[in-house]
Amino acid sequence: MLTEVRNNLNFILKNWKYTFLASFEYKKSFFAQIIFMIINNGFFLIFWQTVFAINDNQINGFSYKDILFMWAIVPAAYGVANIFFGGLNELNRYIINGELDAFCIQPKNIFLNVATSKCIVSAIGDLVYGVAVACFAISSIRELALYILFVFTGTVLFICTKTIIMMLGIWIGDAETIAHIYENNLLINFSSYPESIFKTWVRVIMYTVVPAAYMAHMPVSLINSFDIKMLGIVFISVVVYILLTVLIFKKGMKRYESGSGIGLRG
Amino acid sequence: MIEVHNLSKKFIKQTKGKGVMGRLFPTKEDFVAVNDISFSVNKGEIVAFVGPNGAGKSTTIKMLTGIIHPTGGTMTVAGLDPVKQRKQLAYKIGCMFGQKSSLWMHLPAIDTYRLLGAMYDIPKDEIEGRIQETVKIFGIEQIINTPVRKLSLGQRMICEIASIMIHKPEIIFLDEPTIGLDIVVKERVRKAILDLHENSDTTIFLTSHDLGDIERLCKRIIIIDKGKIIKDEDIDDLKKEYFSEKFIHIMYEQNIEHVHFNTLVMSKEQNKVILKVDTKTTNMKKILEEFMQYGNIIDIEAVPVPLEEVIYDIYTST
Repeated sequence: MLTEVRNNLNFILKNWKYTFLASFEYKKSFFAQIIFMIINNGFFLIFWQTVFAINDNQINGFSYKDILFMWAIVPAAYGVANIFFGGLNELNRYIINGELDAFCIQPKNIFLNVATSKCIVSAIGDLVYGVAVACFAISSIRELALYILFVFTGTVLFICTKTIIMMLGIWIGDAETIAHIYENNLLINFSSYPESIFKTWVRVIMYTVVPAAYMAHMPVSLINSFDIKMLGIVFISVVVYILLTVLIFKKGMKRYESGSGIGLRG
Repeated sequence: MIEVHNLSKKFIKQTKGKGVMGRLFPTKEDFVAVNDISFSVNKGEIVAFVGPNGAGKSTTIKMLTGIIHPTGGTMTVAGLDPVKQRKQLAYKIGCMFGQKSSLWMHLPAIDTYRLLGAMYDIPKDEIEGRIQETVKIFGIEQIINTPVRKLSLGQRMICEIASIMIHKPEIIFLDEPTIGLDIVVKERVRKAILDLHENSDTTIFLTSHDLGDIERLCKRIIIIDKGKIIKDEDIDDLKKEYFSEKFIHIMYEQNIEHVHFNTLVMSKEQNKVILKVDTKTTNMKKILEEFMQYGNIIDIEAVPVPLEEVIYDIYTST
């Protein structure tokens, strides 16, 4: 058991090493992607600075520091998820083209093998940006500890939601567009604005199918004033999403194995 | 090495009807891709598994490698059940699926080999030795450190085959290993496969539409069509069974002019005649006596009918 864990860890570290080396092959493009992502994210803070300046430094009880924390947690979590588990962005294509076969004939966990097989370079820009913003926002050890914790939970939620949507490809075919809309237009957008500006029905969505509340709003609230019950809810939501992901991935793989039109080449 | 008993695989096939409604609500029916097949492959054999498109070749390979699960029958590969022991089996098999590359395009092949070392849990101090051994067998010392995208197609294919050998599999599944390659590269790939077999006595299970691959590499052929095995025998026996016809090339010392064209004569050049004879029904002594009358024969060659014609005949007759 211990040997298996060590072997798996060794494989994941090697996979990360070579995905990073492969990404670094085009050095100019590598650095350009990172820099442009930092600039892209930077504009949002300028936007928020202007909005807060107009509104006497608060919007529906939300301070500029809250926005800073939001923009420190979400890009960093997105960055970690896509740097180290960027292969999930290819999952739908692998399913549609039958390319998952290559992972099935290898002696490692299929999910980890797929997830660690690619690094999204621009996500390094997101991580750098998130950490840079955190440097401005964090003012105590307690805040630092909570920040690290919520980047971790946010990363898990990004990984889970992406896996679930991409696995839908097993049932519906092309799920890549849906995944793009879900992640960029719903999850990231909902996680980038104060919860108080959303209407009740949108909040229902943010606490259920699009876990923006657990990814950004509750963590910011917890950094402001710690509440063990609220922290418990964040943990429970993460565990629920993990279980859902495992269930859907397993069901999907079973269906992939039982046909889905992929094995009909011969 | 491979034991297959009554193996079957059904898929649900959707047939789209006419119009929008037909597209929205396709009819579903069972499609039997592999239908109750049985065969076994011994250690060290190189077996060709052929059939027309849609015959069930790739589906069978995918079941044998644990990618998809059968709907009926049993199988063991290297003593393991591919359905229940996918991971354990993966350590014992190597696969190359057509033009799907297992190499990282932006990295040198040696990096992929090192990653494969970690994939197959090969100890750190052992992997470099294994890589050197494999590189030597395939003669790829000069290209091993070049990024794969900069290699020619032929070099890449040899590196692909070499990558299968890093973990020393007991069985290798090759699905269309020479598809899309020119004749020179094909020959290099075939030689690499033979080298690999010679060096390790590995069992090789090969599918290919290129019958040149099969004639060059395999002694035994399994033909599958519409999900059923229709032939499983030695390639030479198959040829004998299906085609007793042979092409006889007769070379004369001088130009010949008075050859009587009959049903035997396929073509005539200045000093050469090609006959097509059925060895089962033709009296060869009489034929040769007749053709010796036309001049001094300097060479006679009997050429068997190409495998391609044999397979074509089998496909079209089923």
